[in-house]
Amino acid sequence: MVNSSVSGSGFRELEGPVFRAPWEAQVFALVCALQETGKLPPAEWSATLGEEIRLAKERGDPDLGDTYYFHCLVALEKWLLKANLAGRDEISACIADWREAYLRTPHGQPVELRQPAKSQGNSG
Amino acid sequence: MSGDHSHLPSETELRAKALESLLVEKGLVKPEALDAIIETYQDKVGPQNGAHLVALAWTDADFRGRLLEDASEAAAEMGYFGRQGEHLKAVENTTEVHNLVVCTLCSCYPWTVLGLPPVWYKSAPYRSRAVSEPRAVLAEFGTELPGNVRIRVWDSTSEMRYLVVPMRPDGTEGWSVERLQGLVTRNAMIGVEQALAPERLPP
Repeated sequence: MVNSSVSGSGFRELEGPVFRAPWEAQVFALVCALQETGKLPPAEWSATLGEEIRLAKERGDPDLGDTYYFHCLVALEKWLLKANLAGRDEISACIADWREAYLRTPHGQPVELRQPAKSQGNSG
Repeated sequence: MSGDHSHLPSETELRAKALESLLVEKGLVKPEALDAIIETYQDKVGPQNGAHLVALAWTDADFRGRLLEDASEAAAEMGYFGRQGEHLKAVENTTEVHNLVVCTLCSCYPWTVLGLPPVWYKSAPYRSRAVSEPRAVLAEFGTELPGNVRIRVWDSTSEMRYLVVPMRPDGTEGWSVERLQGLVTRNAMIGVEQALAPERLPP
């Protein structure tokens, strides 16, 4: 419970940019957007994220704040599965699609997922 | 053949991209909304909002009353709206009580008035030690309190966020709200530091 063994690194040394990479901002924005539209109730989110942080610490993550958005990422994946909004295979396939898109796209060109065959998008 | 393709992002980056495209594809989030959120947190929302509320409370007794009574309302009055429907409570430091804010579970934070949380706020040592040994945590931030001052720790939740109203520093009589605002740091509003003394204000 009491966790003072990590105090070798003072809190002020843990200062840093709020986002260390664009993907962190991306994950933050996804969580925010889902909460704003009421799809992800705040209590559900804090329970899911809290559980993920607990599991990460069990796996040996010293949890110094720099892995926070990674915890958010994993928690968001788990929430999608739990809410039956996406399947494990679907998520894995989408990650593979992105990897493939990077490998296929020549350097310097925008990387895009192959568009699924839905030409008449009716957004809005 | 490798070498000519785009630089392959890390597994984590690919996972984040996959999450976004799945959520967009399923109509759960709109790409414009994501851009707007990032823009808001970059440019419009930050500790300056909270500092404004604190400086107003220091100079306007009526506003102070409203802020302590219902901080969500008082913040909304100034145009700072909670985005997730959470309640905001302002807790005031006095010569007897010093307030400190933490989220032991998952780093809930008063985004509306403080912007994004600092790295240490999200760290396990802060989350546990703010509760178990708050005085030692304050000392690490260089904050020494007289022995008779009680420390009150507020554990944030998804429904309730806290804003510390630090004590107004001596030697600031007659200062304008704008000038006072410069003394109110993010850390003072989390409660790990005091408001800046006037002589510590950057020129």
